[in-house]
Amino acid sequence: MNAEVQQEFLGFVEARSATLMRVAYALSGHQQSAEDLVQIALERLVVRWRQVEDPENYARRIMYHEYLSWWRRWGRREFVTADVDERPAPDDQETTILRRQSVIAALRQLGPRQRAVLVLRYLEDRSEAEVAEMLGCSVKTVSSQATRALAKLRLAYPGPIEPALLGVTA
Amino acid sequence: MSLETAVREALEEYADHVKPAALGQRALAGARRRAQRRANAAAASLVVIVLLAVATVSGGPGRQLSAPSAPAGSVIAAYYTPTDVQVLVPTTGRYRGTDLAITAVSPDLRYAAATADRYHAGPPPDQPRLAVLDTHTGAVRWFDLPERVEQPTWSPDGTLIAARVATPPGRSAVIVNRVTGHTALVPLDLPTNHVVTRLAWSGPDRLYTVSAPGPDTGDPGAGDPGAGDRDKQFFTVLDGTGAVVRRVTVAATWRIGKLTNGPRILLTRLSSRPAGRAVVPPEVAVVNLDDGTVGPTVELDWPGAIESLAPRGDGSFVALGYKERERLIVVNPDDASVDLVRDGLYPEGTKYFVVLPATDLPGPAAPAVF
Repeated sequence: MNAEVQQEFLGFVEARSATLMRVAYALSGHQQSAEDLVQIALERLVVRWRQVEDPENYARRIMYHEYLSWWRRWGRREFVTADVDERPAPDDQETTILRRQSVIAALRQLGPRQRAVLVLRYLEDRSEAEVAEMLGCSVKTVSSQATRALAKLRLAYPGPIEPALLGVTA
Repeated sequence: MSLETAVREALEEYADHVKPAALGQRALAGARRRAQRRANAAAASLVVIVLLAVATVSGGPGRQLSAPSAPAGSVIAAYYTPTDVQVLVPTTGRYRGTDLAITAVSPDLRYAAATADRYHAGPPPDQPRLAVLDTHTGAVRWFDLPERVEQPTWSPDGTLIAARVATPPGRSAVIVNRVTGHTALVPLDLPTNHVVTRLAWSGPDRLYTVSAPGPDTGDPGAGDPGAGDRDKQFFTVLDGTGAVVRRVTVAATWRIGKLTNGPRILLTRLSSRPAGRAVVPPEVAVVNLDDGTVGPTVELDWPGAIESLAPRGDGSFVALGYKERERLIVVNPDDASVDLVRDGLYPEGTKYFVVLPATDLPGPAAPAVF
């Protein structure tokens, strides 16, 4: 690994690691697990630095696949330790925060694929086709996983239910 | 607010909780370690079938576990006390204390394997490795491994050690040749979504795994009947290349205890009888990996759980039975009998025995045989 590659790589990490860490945290729900996920992705990225066209996409792909394989190994135990934020909130924001916390709590109960699909769809704003490509599965699978995940979250969402969502079933 | 908007905002806010981490230099250091590990593995890049061939040739017929002609009897090769691990020195018949977390002893009792120091605290070391203790001399040799492993298990001739890979999760095994020092990473041919829970030898050139679907892994594997069925677990017999020789399916309610080498594996579970009895007797059955059969279910006259440990030469098994504290028992699945072998002979808090069939042991070890 020459100095030029190292410099480019460190520049990339400087610029993009915060974004990668956000995704990793949304997936794992845990600071240390998020750091591990990103570090693994970066370690694999740097040895292929010259061959990889889109380093960020490459790193993300590794993170998602690594996350799914961790889950297979360790199950939920590894990922339920994060605390939901309990900062005091002004009264007028209380309802919103309660709703968010309900959604986050429900999110943590989802299986790994459903969670990965939601993170890609809603945190990363990816299309279903992009999600399918990232996770290595069919668009149909992405669509059904997203539908099931949202159906579970809807049960936990204390707000008014949108009429358009009522007809959706798992 | 629509649900999708709520999910988007919740995820955004959730992700805000992450703290920044300086990962660039850490990743570079990690990548260097990986490169070094790959170089080490490449330097020892004999494929496993060669390793196995060496074992078969140098080992000759080897010591056949639970061979019908072997004399009955078992030996406690190692056990854990609250303060250390005691390993039998076969030449003296006495036990030697060690800090290594011994989990496997070679069938001739000469070598013991461990994946960790017993008192190791904190995160595991960067370089995964395996320790082999020479029970005669007390010398320890460390082998660097390509991946972190669990459950080391000795081949019948005591040349090879197989262990399942712990990280990344169990769909491959590492095999170490104790004599040559060669190490090979062997992918295991398992149903798509399965994770290995046990790995052991079923013969001189055969490994077997016990696997079950991983938690919530999505679609079951195509073309693997029953692969996604959470009510089932699979015994898969593999040859030296990791290819499938035979698969045996058993219900997930059966418990497969500590490693049991040999083609006959004892399954245990608490009684399937309805609750309401004060004492629930365990049931056992025997899986024969040679012909793929699962024997009849037998209810034992034993008031508590048991854990299968080792086959004896006469068709029975030595097991650890729980009733107030651990007791060594012999279970005979043919006539459902249970014999108490040892009770309270070991220090308080002793547990986790490594028991092996006792065949052709050097004389001084005889007192440890039962």
